[in-house]
Amino acid sequence: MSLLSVRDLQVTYASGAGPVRAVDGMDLDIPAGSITGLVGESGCGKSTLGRALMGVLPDTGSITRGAVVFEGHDIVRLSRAAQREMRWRRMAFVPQTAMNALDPVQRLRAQMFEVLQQRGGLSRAEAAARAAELFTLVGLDPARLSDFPHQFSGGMRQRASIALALALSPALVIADEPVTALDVIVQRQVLDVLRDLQARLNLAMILVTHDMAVVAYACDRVAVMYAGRIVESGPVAEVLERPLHPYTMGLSHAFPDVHGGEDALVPIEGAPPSLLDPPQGCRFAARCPFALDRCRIESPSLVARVPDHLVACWRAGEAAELRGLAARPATWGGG
Amino acid sequence: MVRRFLRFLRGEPFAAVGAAIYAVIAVMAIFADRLAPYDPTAMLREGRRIAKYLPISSAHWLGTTSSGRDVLSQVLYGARAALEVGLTAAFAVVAIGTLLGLLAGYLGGWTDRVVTWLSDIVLGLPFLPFMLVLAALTHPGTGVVVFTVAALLWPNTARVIRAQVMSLRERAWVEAARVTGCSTLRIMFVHVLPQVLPLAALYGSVAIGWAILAEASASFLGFGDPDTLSWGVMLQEAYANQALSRGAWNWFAPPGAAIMAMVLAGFLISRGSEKLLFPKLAGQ
Amino acid sequence: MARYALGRLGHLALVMWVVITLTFVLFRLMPGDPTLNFLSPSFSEETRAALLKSFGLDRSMWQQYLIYLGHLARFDLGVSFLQGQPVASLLAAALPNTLMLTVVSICAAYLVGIIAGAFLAFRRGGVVEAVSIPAALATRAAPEFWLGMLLLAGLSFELGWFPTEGAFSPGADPGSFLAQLLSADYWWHLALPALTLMLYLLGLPLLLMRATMLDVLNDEFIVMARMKGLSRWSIVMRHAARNALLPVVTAFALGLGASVGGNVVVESVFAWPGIGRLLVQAVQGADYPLAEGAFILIAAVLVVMNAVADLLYSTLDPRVVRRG
Repeated sequence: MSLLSVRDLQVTYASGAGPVRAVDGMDLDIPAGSITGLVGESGCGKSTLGRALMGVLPDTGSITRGAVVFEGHDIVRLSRAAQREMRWRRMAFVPQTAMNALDPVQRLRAQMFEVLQQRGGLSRAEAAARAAELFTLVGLDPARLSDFPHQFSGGMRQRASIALALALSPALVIADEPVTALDVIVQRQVLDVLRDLQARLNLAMILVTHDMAVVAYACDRVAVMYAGRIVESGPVAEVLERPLHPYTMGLSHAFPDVHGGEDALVPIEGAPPSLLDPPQGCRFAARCPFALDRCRIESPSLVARVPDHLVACWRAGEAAELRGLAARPATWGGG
Repeated sequence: MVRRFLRFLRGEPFAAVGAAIYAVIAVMAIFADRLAPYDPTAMLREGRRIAKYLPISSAHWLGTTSSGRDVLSQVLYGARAALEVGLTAAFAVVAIGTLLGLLAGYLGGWTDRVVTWLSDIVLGLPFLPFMLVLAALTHPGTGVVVFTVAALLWPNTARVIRAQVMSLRERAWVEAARVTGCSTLRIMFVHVLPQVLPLAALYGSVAIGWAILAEASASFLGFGDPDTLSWGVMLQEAYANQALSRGAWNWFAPPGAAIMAMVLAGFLISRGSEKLLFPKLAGQ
Repeated sequence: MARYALGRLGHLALVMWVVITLTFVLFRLMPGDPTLNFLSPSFSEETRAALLKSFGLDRSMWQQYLIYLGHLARFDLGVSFLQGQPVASLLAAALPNTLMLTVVSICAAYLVGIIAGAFLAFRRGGVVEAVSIPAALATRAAPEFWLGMLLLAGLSFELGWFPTEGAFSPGADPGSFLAQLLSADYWWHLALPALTLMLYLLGLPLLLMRATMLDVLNDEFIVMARMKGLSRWSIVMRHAARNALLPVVTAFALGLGASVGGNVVVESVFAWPGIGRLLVQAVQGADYPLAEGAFILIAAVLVVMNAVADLLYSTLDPRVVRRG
């Protein structure tokens, strides 16, 4: 039984040129007590998914189809009040850049207390104790609670954001590119904090990132997203060792190995399709070196090829051969 | 160039309205002698009586003043004084502000400190009182207005130009000019200055407004040029000759509205073109 | 913080000194006999001699300057030609009226402007926005004294709702300032000049509040506040307004300083007995000691409020202190 399961979700933005389906027909299961990496290029809808789950889409966006079942309730169908009630208590968020995510004119203590008292119902004294405990938990000195956000380094701000997310002991934490703006060493430290806390508190976590290396380093499971859909998902070791989808194969080559391997990076040629007018058939077909005629007409659905390893590709059966071809830079049009 | 300007106006209704107001006032000023139905200084007569306090009629579209002068003709001629003061003062403000901003931004160091210090001093001088005292100690007139506007309002322009120049200074082409041995003066005035002129012009359009308001206030308080026919002088005459208690709206409403329109035009143009110069603000 | 404040204080003193010196130079170095500027032709021979001596007008410019500074330090600003009273006491009598007018109108303008500006930031597009923004710009563009004239002609002369001039009805001067504050007559006279000034000042806070509010509402921490499930009140007041108010509060302090000097015309229209009208009368009547005193007082208020604005900004925005 998954903690969170997303079924056929569609998120639509109104734009001058017509509706844009940033998330379109998405299926995803997040088991309790594990870190799932949600990986994809920028613009594939991964951040939109995070915001949709938190219920804070911009005014132009809305969930137009599908279900999001979290702890047994479909939150799309909950009343606004019930949604607000659940936010941060059961499901919290670690933002992309902690710089603007923290209110610049309030001390960290005030921002911590606001959540603990207003949403957690703690007394002032309880809140003080809890805030110190949380800061210690993420590796910050509780004395720094009296600081303003600008007095923190990037890594410290990210730790503070994590502490804020954990304030009300949520079951699920969504972290949106939590380490993107940081340098490599600090990235590691923050990822270590996330992993450690996940294990200690038995959290479920969705780690949204564009970086396969981050997934490989920090996650138990991975879901690969392309043009508003999940194209492959499964345990990290399985998906990275034996990717079944050509896009996943390409992505693994497009990023440096987190362990420092200096293999030649091979980018995937081309750009994702317009979500304003998505192509018929498989959305990756136009960039896929292995696309068949069928791929351009019929859209493959996400099915389990191997137990616990899902993929949406017509040629998943030939994956072993394709992996061999994909390992050659020439396959991707590079030289 | 013209077509680009027209396209810009279509996209920015605020700026288009502002430009239209300027155009109308320019036409009023240029053709005042042909448009004005009467000599604005002539005391008109009705038979043997002076034609004073006449209401709006087909003969006098905006009525007459307490001394029998035609209000419409005065408003039309007033556009000349307004443009004269506005343009002169705006030019002076922009020239001083741009020069000091350029020097401070490009040279930095003690030049920058001196300019900052000067602008702090100037910001400590109250505008209208300073103008009044100056008018009293020298002699009243347009000169004092233009001088005060130029001397006290340059810091705004200088501050913005300075910031702009500081960012331009770091660009590659300025660096390139420096490496190829261009003199500092040449880089500043040939390479950097043209880049900041549009921004300076923007501040100029607002300064026109401030200058006209300053002239109007000075005239209203009796420190205007008594020989000039300006909107401010008209308002002063109206106030001093009981136009308010007589309810002669036709006399005191039009000149004030003309001032308001002209100042508003400057605001509208700068607001519209801000989006052109600072695309970041476009969302607002 | 304390060091920063001290630095600002030093800066303030320096600017004030330059302004005072500039005033001295302006009044002494103008063409014509400077002694004439300070000695009314109507004074008797004895008074002339006494004044000549006390101002040091028979001595060198440098000595005169030192004497001038000494007088200023003791608030001795000389004697008004026209009214024959010490300038300092004339100013002291007028200052409360100017402050009342300024404070009442600017507070009203910022109260209305902040609320309306925040409201407009939430209501983008539509008729309200299309009408109110040009209207706000227009009130800023109109000459203050003309706004006053319109109100005076309409509300006082045509409708008779408000008195036309002064601070009291004839024969109703209550004497002390406290008694003034308690008299309805005073407030009734204050209403129209304050309304004029308020209309004039309203545009800035309204447009500024709207612009900064729009800026802040797009900030990530507002989205985060919504994610945290905080109440709407908490989001708008604690986070959005608190951040959006920073520039508005600074503008308030600057505006307070500037409008004490800017009141000159409004006070003249309504014959409101404040510093501005005193200055205009002094300048018109070539009453140089009074003009000089009024000018220095107005400049001092401006300089102090500029410094207060600076200090306020650094208190309210924790990010600034670092730079100071």
